[in-house]
Amino acid sequence: MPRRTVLIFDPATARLLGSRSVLAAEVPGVRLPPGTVMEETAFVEMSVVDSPTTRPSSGG
Amino acid sequence: MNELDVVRGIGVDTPDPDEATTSAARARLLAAIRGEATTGGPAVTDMTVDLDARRKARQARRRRLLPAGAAIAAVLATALVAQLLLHDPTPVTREQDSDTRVAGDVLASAEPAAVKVLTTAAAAAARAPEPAFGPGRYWYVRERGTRVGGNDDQFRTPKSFYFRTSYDNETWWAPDGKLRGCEAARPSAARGSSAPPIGTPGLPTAVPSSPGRGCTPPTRVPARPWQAAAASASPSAQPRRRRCRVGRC
Repeated sequence: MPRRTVLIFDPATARLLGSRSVLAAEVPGVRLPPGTVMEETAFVEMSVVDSPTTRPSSGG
Repeated sequence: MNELDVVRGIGVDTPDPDEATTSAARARLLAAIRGEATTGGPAVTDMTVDLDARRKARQARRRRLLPAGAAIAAVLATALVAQLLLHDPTPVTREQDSDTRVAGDVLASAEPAAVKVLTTAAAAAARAPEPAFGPGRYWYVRERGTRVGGNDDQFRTPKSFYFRTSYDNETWWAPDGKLRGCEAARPSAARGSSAPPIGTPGLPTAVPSSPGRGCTPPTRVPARPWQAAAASASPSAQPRRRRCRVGRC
């Protein structure tokens, strides 16, 4: 389905805060109107860690 | 008219050279004849020496002018390219790919305030220190959100319905692009075929995800992706739906 995705950055730090994807056009046979939010994401934490089992707050 | 008469007519109109010039020319001619008779080849006369000198002078002048000409041509070419770049940027045409066209359209219609914000953000990103990311390290990302799902097997039929799901993802990216991730998710608002579309009043659009971590990272990286999939699908798994993926994307 056609989507329009917007990435949201913190203008002061350029940190990626989140994203939002909306249905960009009417799709025949699909009962979702254009503008429906298809996906919203908030990036709550991003960091470099030492292993794929480590979280930043646990000593990564 | 006879050719000889023509030559005689020209000779009549042309004044004769003076005696000294005629004598000097005759002497040079006789010297040349004697030289050829002696050597068996063309004699080196004042005339041939003069011609050689002129040819060498022309070649030397050409060699001197060649670097200067190349330099002038380079300057003119640079000026031409600069003019083209400054005043005639490559237009965005329909033949270019859609991404380029969309980017061009967006930039053309961007508001100055948005351009300023993006420029500021780009400058901040350029100033930010690079994270110490490399072999043996992982880029951890935690994200929360909602997404719309549906019964894909009934897509575009009267039995189709859509629901919104909240999720809480944790992903560990390796420097080579491989990743492993954990996702905790649960459906929030299932809709029947006769239900109004998502977003109408009176129905929740999303159920917030539970607080805390979305899932516990495995104690080790599974050697095979299907091991993780089988573990997440087993009844003894976590009470809520849990999905762990390795090598996604």
